[in-house]
Amino acid sequence: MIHPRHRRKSIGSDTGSMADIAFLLLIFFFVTTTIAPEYGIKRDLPKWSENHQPDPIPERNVFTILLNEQGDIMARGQEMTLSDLPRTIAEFMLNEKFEETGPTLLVVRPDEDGFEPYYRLADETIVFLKFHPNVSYDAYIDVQEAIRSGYSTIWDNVTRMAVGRDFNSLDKKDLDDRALIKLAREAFPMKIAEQPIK
Amino acid sequence: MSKFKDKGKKELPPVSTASLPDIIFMLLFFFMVTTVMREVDLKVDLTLPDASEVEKLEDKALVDYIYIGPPTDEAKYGTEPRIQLDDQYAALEEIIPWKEEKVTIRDEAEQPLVTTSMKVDKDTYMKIVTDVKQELRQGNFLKINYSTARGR
Repeated sequence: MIHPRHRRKSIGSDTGSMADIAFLLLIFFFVTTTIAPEYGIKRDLPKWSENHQPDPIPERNVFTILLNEQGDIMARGQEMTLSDLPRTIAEFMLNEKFEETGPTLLVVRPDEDGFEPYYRLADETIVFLKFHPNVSYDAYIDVQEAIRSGYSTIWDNVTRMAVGRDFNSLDKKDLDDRALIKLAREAFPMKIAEQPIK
Repeated sequence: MSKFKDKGKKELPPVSTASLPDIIFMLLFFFMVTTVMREVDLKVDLTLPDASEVEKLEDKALVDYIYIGPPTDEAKYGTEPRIQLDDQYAALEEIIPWKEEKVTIRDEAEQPLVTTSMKVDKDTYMKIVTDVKQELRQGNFLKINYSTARGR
């Protein structure tokens, strides 16, 4: 026969501290964890060559951006704000008025790949970014982002002409959409040349 | 009256906290599984620049990090921006050997996919970043990423 007092003692073991221990571990993982995904701007560097003499590109195919020590921007000889830069790049590349000072565009006809006609660049066209070595990284990234934003507009234009869809609505995981992304990127390849001003 | 009181007491047992540890443990396991340990001790001050036109870095196992920024310990190391590889400061010339070592520990199939992510303080001047990029070019490590905070 178990004495009633003994039985009462063994009924509930104290599990309150278990929660404390688990909490402690939990907090440890909270602190060390990096759940937030990382974001960034991806770039491919050009291959290294000892005598780096790039092929000369005619001036009409170069969009030059100057970035000075204070982070002021000058694009194609005109001072401008950061927010004007994407639009200016897009206007230059898309050269809808077929100006002599801008790149030549070709029309891709529907019989070539089944899409509605759209423009593509005829020759290699680049964005040439010259920056002062003392300019802040922040200003440099802002310009990189503005260039990317400009190209987004351009690619948007291509996909809208070709299939009537926004570039940003395309899904990277979808096979057909991926072909469209490739098409837009190949019609207007994003090429950026960089050089610090000496 | 006392009859009713007795009945009421019996219907209100104390709330059991025994399942609380289970819930916490479940959360704990979730975090243990999804966690990625912080890679290094940062020895430089980092405030990443904000950007909105950004891409997600997909596979973190295929990324090497280069940190550039002013030293945390200003009194000891000054304010000139420094390069940090893994857990220590490094000179420019150490980048290529460091990258070569990093490449060899990976599968051959994965090697061309390895990205070098540059985590650079936003107030750093561009010269040091350009120098690092030139080193990477010389070593033929061409895939890079400018790490940014997602803002705006």
